[in-house]
Amino acid sequence: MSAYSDKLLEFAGGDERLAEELINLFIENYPAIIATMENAIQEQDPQTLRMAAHKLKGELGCMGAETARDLAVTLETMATNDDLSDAGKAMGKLRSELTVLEVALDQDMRALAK
Amino acid sequence: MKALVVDDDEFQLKLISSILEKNSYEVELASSGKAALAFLDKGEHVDVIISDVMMPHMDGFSLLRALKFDRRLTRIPVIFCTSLGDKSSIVKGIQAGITDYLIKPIKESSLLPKLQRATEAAYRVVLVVDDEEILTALLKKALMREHYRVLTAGSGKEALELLTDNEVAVVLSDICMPGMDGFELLAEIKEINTKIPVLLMSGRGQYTENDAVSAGADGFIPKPFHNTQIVALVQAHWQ
Repeated sequence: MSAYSDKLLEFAGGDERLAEELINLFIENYPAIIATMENAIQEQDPQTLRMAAHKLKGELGCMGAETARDLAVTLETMATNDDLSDAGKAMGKLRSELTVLEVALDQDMRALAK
Repeated sequence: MKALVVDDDEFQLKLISSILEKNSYEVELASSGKAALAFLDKGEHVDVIISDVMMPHMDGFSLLRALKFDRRLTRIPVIFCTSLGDKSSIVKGIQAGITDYLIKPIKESSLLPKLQRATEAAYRVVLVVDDEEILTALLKKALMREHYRVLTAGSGKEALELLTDNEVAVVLSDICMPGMDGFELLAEIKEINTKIPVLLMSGRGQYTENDAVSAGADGFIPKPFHNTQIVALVQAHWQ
């Protein structure tokens, strides 16, 4: 199990089934959240970016994915300050962090399924 | 014990509701402030509301304002879920009347004690004392409709017993009762705890507000009265 799943399991009070459900929910939902964020950056829509980054931040916090969470915080702050000039760059970094995270979570899910 | 959890994020709803269900809470989920209000509008009873702060359309603050504005819902304890470092939401929340707050990610070890404390405060009761059973039943019904918890006693002696075992916020007592009358009960209660407001009621013409207040009562209402008068008087003395 990756450190992410371990952390999530801790928040789930040691309930493996719940952790599994939450991982599935995350894998299922996060592409839509980042699509919303990327779209908001393109459309220069800080309010939508702020909401989506905030939601993602909360979920990443539950998995102890600190680097990705910090990037979501950065994007949320940029949106709050209404300055999206560097948002594209941060978004790129966030996307690659999330790819790493998803690979780790996928492996954990396969291990749990065995 | 029933908790209403409000969050636009399915992930957080799942996590919080699972912790609650595992600990024998009944859980109702709402994905927005509007959905939470729609549920409460149906007259559904909840003991505590756990709400996210940042949500689209209606955020936690707007939901809190709506709850505090509604006489029937104002006493439901609200716990805000905020992000680490979001001190301004906590300060604003406390000013607007939240009972407590939690920092995300939510941990079972912090959620449960806070819930317990929040609901204990909400579990304070109005104690209605009257030897006329029909009257106590009617008052109980009127107060419960306003989301108060109500205990009833048929005598002063019974009332004193209930006072020792319960967190009583307001006492509403008749004056003319067999055995211990309302004035004697008032004196006994003030002896135990001067802070509990005691409201006396009696048949019109028998006693006046002056009699009640000089005996140390916090309020007086002559019978017959309208339920709304009683509710307003209890509300005014609810601390």
